Amino acid sequence: MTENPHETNRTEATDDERAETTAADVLRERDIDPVTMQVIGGELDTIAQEMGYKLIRSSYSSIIRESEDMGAGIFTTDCRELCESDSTPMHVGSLIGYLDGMYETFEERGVDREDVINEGDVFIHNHPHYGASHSPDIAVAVPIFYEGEHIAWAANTAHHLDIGSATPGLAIDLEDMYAEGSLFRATKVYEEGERVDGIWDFIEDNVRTPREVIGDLQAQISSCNVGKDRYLDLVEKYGLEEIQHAGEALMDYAEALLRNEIRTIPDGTYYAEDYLDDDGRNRDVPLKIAAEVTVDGSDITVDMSKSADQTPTGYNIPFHGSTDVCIYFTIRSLLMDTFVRDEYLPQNSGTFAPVHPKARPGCMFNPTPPTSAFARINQVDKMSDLIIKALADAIPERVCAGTCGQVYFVSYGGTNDAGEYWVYLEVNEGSYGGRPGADGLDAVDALVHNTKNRPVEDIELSHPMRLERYGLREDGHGAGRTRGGHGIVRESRFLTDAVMTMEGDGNSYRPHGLFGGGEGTHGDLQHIKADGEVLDLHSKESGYKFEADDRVLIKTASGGGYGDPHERPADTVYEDYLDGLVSATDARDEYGVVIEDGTLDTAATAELRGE
Amino acid sequence: MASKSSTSGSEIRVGVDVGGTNTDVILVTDEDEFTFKTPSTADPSESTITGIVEVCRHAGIDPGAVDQILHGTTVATNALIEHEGARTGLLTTKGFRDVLHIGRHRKPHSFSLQQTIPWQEHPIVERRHRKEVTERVYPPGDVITPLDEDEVLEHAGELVDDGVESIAVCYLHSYLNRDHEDRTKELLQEEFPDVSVSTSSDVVAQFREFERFTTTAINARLEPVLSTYLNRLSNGLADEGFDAEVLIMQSNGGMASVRNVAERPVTTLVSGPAAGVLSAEFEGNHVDEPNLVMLDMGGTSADISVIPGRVLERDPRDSTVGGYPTITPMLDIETIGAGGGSIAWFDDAMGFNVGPKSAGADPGPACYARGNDRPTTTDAQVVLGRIDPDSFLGGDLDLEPERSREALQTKLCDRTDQAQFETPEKAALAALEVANTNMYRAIREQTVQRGYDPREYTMVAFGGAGPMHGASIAEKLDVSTVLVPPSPGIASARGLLTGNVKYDYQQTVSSRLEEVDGAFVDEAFERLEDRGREQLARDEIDSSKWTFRSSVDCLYDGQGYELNIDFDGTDGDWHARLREQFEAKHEAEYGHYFEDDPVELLNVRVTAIGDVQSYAPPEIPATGDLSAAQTTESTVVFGTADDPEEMTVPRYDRAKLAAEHVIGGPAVIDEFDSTVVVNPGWEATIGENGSIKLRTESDK
Repeated sequence: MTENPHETNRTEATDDERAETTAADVLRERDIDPVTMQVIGGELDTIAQEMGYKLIRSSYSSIIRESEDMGAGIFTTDCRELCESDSTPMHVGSLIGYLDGMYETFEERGVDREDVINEGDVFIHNHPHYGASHSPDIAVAVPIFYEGEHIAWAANTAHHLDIGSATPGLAIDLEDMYAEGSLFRATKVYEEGERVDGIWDFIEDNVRTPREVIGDLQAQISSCNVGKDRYLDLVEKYGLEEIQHAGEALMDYAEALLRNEIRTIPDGTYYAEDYLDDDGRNRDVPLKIAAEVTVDGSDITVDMSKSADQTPTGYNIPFHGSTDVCIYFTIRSLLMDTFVRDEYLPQNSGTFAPVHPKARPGCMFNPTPPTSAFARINQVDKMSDLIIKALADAIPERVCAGTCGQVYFVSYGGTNDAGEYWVYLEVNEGSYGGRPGADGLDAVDALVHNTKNRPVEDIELSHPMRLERYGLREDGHGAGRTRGGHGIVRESRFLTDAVMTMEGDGNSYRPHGLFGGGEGTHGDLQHIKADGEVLDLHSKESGYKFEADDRVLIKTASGGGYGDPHERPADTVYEDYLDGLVSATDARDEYGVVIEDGTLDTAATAELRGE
Repeated sequence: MASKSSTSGSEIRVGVDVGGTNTDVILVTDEDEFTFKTPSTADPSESTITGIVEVCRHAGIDPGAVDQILHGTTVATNALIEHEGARTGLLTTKGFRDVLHIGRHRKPHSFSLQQTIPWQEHPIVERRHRKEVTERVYPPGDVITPLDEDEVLEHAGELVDDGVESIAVCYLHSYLNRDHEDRTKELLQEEFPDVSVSTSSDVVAQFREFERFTTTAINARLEPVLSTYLNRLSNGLADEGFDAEVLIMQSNGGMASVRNVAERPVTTLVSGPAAGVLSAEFEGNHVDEPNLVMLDMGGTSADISVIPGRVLERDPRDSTVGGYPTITPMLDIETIGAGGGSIAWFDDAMGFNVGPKSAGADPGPACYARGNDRPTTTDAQVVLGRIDPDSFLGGDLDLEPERSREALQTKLCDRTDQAQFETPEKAALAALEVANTNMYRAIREQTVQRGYDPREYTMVAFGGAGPMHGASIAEKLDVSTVLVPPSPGIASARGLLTGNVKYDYQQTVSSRLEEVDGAFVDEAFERLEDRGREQLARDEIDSSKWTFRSSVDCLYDGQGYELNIDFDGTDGDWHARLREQFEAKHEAEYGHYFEDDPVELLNVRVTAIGDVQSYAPPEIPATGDLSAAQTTESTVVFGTADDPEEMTVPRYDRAKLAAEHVIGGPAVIDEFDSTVVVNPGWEATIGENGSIKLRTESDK
């Protein structure tokens, strides 16, 4: 297993000469007319969206069909991305790692790619040390052949309900990668069009929810086949050479757009650090997480090497497919914010070229085998939050104050009377910190994930659970000129005995304020027993047991404030008061706004604020 | 209505469609057809009444003689998009006050730190007016906590004291058991008779609380707005001497009585575009072409809809208006940012784009000389010689063609730092190519992706710009026939005349198919049909004109997206039959199906239709010499940006064309509100009703 083979390549590709090249120059060199590029770019985008659409519509598990925790696209034979569906960003670009990992596997096994990749093959792959984002995200890859030649890949990833790990659905306190469940490395489930029955039987026998997993794999295969057919239509229409040429031009174009923006950040090295709660086994041993961001011309390097060593549990982050993807995401969100800008940035490998992720082997952002790296979403959230924090002084108008920097990702499960498992994966959303022009978003799936919640009515129709409460937290936010967003409070009751694995963090730290704004609130977890006894829970729990009528109470973090709270208009503070989001006491203490008997006292406020 | 429709032979009907820029009116008698266009006014009832009065005057018809007025309205849509409406309150299940605020916790933009979210930035109901009530229903519909009636009245009192005019009642699982919502409504109507009340089980009894609650809250918020408007309209029409029956177009493509619509404003959110789809369907049926693609291209956007034998409804889970989910039935219309005002521009990295930036109708294209100097697709058409500047909008608007040329030259040809086009003509051809490709892709998403082969389809192109682009987009799709209806600029108003009264009803079943008893299903359909019968009777439509369409929604147990299947009854082994139909549809839609997995019957649906339309377009004479219709010859540029081709082509006046005239391309047909471009290799045939059929020569 080599260390980050692509990282070196990417650095070499960005010499000074390249950095000074403008987008226009690049395309002129490519000699492609803008109309053709736009037309083929649109065609590729349409293919990726259709692949995503088909997968979501026909899948079984709610984590795909409701939460849309998946990604799909077309890739070159040297594993670069030509297009990708607009899905949760954690998947965007991760497939590159999977395909690289498959090639590495072929190499280790001593087989020639030409021999092993055949028309009609379907591969699955999910090995965390061979490019997988993490093992529950199984990739399906279908080679595309044209006139007998392998010309591209249609591939997708999707989060599966269960892969037979130590605990149902999710897992944290794992000894090593073998405890993650079923690991596949470039495994063929179809060979030249023939179903490989043995591997399907193996899957059926080794996961807790076989109907969902097999149904979802089938949906992934159909989605790849659609991608393959559409790409071949495109090749028929424009010719292979034209398509490949346009693909290269589109990647150059995307790269040039991003380089233009990186150049606007002053050169220098920027740094931010914080501590995560623990590794899920060694309680009260916080884990350092540190982001060092170096801007040099049109290149940007994010180095996570100063973070803690890899943990002895599953609480680690695969470098390829997770650490790198999250860094790409964060830079792109800061510099190419799609809400602010209206040019079309094609999603392809070009958007990764000027960004250089780094993490020393053996640190938690680049674990070495056989360490497990199953649970990584909280660490990448916090990493993203720290990259934004590090750059706050350099580009104050493009950042936000501390986001939740955490997520309570939970699996609930149990068995029915027939002994069949039910598993439900739940993403408990966080919040954003205040922004230059607006308050932080309340109750949204933050940063690098962008899933959908599952309707309460759908949960209650499907599982022995009942929601008692699902709403905004009302116990504070980071005060600021623009305030932090509110996290949620969610209380679920189990109607039968159930088991929970909680993949969370952030019970011990608060989202930071910026430029005079206050800190937000940290997350909280409790087990409320049927008899009323309340137990505090850790942010990570593996296989935690509930009895019928017990409840779990989840409060996610509220974001930090941006700017001096005294600069927030008194009327706006009063509106928050009317909406139950700030108390009269906090209005006075934090904002200098006086509310007496439910009425805003403008004169007293002016006096208190020294106006 | 019953008495009037029985004398349909001499019926006088008026269709009036209010758009953002213009109010279009059409009046038909059994012999004649009259049209009128007037600028839309801030209070749309004014231009609506003006339009109706003027078209009657024009036709020499006494207001009292008009039998029916069919109306497409954007009042509710505009109020929603502009965040207006009544001060609204919400009563909801205890613990779930913030469902409307959290939504599906997904951000509209994946890559953005600065975005805002519509339902958080502009809440339909402010948090202070969202009140929780002790009550709870749990599947399969059990009341596990009874409704606290005192709490309902107490909270409603607080809301009313705070100026709330309309209340949405949204309880969890009310699609399974509506008793608590019904009782709450009853209590509110007794105690607060002036407050409007919308319950979620009334508005849209479907599961998924965020979407149902939002749709209901929008309905509550818009109800006072639409009621006021419809009152003003009715009174205004009465003042002018009209006593015609007024019917309103709904998003589902059906007409509904004013009374019904006043209570269901959320069903009118795509009223005007839905009329466009009906117009396309009518055009196609008229020439026996059942498989149609509608292209309605106006100033700022293009509406696209695919009609595979019949109009389709949108998957409710994809339905949003102004960023808010709205899950009441609406026709499947895709709107993309490509119109006559769409701007062609280079971005910082030399990417060439057309739209979504638009100059709209005001300031409009550069050639309008109203302050926009950026080139639009209309400017491209002017530079290429396709739009005749002298006869644009009947010569009502003076175009300055040199401004089109200048805009293309300065913005797309002269910039030295970026890729450039050598001439304005080349830039114009490139802009049209990109705009046409955008529309072509949108159509392909609606056809190929859903298993419809566009080569078997006929395009119906209208709107001011549609007939200029239709043939070029058809070429990309391998579509060989394009229909251009008469006066394509007012096709939506004409579509109103072709609509039937239509109401949708549905009931969630949510059971495994093989466990569902046939008698139970029969009963459910019967109950829904009864509601339809009741409504149609209340609308005074003769029962001989009623039809009912039954369908069911199915999915594999565990999936989240249902497929709608026409239901053909519970006789014989209907379980097996339905399963087979479902599997076939699943395979067509997704490419695979599962032989052994259990199928769930999610919903039964009934559409009640009252056939009230009697539109027959007047025929145009089949006499006259084609050369008499030719006005001039002009230079028009065809070809591609790489290889422009200047051609001298004849221009015709559409008003002078007669049935069976055949015009070989290249040619241009000018008319009051549009221009029809007959591409090289295409041929135009004039139909008996004045519609133009464009065909590629290979297909003649």
